[in-house]
Amino acid sequence: MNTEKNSNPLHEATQWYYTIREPDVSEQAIIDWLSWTQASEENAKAFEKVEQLMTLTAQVKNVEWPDDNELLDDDYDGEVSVQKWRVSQKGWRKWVTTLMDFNFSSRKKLIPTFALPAMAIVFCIFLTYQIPDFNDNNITVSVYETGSAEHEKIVLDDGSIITLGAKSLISVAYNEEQRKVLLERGEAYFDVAKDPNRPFVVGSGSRTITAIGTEFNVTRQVKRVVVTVAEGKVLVEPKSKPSSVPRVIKAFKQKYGNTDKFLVAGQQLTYSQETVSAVESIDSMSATSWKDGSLQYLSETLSFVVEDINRYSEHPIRIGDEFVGSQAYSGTVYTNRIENWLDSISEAFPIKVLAHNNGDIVLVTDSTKIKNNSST
Amino acid sequence: MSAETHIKNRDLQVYLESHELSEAQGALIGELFSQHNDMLLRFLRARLPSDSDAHEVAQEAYVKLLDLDNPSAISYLRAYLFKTASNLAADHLRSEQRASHYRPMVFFKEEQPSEEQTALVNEKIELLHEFVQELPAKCRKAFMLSRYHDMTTTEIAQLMRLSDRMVRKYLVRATEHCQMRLEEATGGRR
Repeated sequence: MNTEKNSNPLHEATQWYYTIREPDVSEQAIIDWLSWTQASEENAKAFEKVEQLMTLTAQVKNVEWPDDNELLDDDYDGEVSVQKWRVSQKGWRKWVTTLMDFNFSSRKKLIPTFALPAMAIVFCIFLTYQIPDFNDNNITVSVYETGSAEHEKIVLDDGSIITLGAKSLISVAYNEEQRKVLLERGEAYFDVAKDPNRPFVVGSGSRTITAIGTEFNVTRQVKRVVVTVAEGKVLVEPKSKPSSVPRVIKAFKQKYGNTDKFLVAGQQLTYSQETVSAVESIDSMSATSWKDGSLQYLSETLSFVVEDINRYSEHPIRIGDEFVGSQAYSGTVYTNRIENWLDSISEAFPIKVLAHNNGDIVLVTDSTKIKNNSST
Repeated sequence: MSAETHIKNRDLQVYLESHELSEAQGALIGELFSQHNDMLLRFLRARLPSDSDAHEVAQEAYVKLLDLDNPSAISYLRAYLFKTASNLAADHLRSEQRASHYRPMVFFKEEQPSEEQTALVNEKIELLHEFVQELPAKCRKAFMLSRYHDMTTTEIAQLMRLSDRMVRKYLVRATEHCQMRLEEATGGRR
């Protein structure tokens, strides 16, 4: 069974799921599967999860079939997770296109696009690959990923330092003309080394954040991205515009673009797929204190607070109803004392903290408390 | 043992009594039911399109056990139960009219999902549509053939001219991807 490198309950459960689905499954396989599920609570839960997921996927309709070209182009061999492959694909195509836009626009047509994904990709603890040498100008792309409650400090060649928060994923592409980082999920703090000739660009969600030498924090959540500047200046602009060097300089001169936003130290901006907030003033320390293990909030809705905490919590915390999710929370959460925080919110809010038997923690409205409050 | 299982077990007890089984035989099957029913249902859900199909086939499998002349060792019975269920599941998928010979839902009570649960499920299905669409082309094709056309690993391998091992790898990766993305999107909530 365990021929795969990364054996975790979910991976094993998925393997078992497909084993017992085979029409000619042997009695021995069934017995082995039964003893696997009975071996630990974790195994049993993982299997249940897979099964529930598959019941759901069976109900998904109208997925598009890949066409012949896509099938021919596809070089995914299942050796790494789909997510890792996607990041490398995205990174790959994106960096190559940007590079070509920058330097080799005249050569663009000479490079057949189908050749790109066919080139070798090397994975290690993080993943690194090199885009072949078109102009004596290699670009190195590295991917870094952290687990639950894990932080990682990444020191880049130019002296820039990225502190990666828990459950986060970034790819970094460097060459002599540019410094590009893609924050796929989670949170990162950037301490950027000054280099006016080589802007430091962070892509996350619908926008890019460009800095020339500054310190800032980016948090990517499912529905929004929050940018906070601790030192210097950054420019936040829609991703679709190619952020070439002249453009950035022009934008710096204009200072006020349509949806381009300038942020200076002590300012914060939140954007989603479609919307951008106004620039707000904030104590930037509060947005970067996560590096020291505390998450600080000033009237932030609980749904966003919980999304952050879940990158640190051993047991997933779920928002049980809309009322709970919409509560405004101000205060500090110590990522190593999440239980204390749970105790405190059940006192501060009309919220009950329930422990589900699968280990999940569910926050629900405590209606008795609401009644009590209104009567007193 | 939860209260719920206890009730289902009592239904089985009534069923056993009405079929005039020997006490020992009834006890044996009762024990098998209480110890392995959850797993039997899981096993069948992996192989059949719906929950009620799984219940129906599980019930048929128990009834088959009752027909055994001389059921003895519980370990033998367990393997027999699952193998029987496996065969019945295959028959079940094959037969076009899925009308059971047995009165459905003797042992199992189905719960109606609340409106809220239905909404949650629909939201997840929508998300999953996106996640399946994200899969690399060949991986996606294999997964879709398995999910929406009930094809086995071997059948998919033949159709796509890949090895069984590769198809299996694609299916596992696709499933893990959906699971991971779903957890990410819902923040671990079910």
